[in-house]
Amino acid sequence: MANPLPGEKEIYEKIKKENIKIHPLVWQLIDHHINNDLYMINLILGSTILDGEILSEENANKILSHSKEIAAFLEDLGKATRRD
Amino acid sequence: MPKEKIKLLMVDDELEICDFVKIIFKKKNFSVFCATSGVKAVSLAKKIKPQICLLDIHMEKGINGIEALRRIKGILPDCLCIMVTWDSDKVKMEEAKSIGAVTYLTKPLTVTQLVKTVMKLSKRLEREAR
Repeated sequence: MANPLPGEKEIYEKIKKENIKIHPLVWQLIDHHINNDLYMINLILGSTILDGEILSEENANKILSHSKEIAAFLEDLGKATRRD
Repeated sequence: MPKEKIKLLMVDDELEICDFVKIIFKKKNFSVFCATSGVKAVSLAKKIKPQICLLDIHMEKGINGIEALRRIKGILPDCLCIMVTWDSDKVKMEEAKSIGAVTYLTKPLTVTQLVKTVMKLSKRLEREAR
């Protein structure tokens, strides 16, 4: 797990207090891409190592591929939403 | 006499998800069947008569999970249906419950949550069968 940002708790409080919202369309993309990839990673791990089995190279590569998908999605989302 | 396996119907338009859910529940001694669309799910349900059904709400093609639930409950009123979705849309969940879904799970759910929910229902079926 990543270390929390300095003042992360305050950032969440500010978001709540100022009612900062993410557009529903952005949530739709997040839900579809990140949640499905995370679910898949969970299923791959849950179907093997939770039962004490060794993760196969094939499944390890599948996890890697889902992680790359998440990274690619975040990059696309960043390009579409960040304004410098 | 060996105990009859509980039939679990897994419905998700992502084939990879179906495949891994199948692996997980086969190890738990279920008979697992998969459908990658709502229409296929209804037709398979008619044929195999599952006792438990895991239904994804958001499916790209044809009917969605809610409509598939409605049709499956129409054929098999006793089938225990669990809805799986990535949003926690209360209206949709209430609709699913009013049709007869026993519960719902929100993606990205963990395997532990998924297994725990299905095992709870399987124990209920075993109790009712006694």
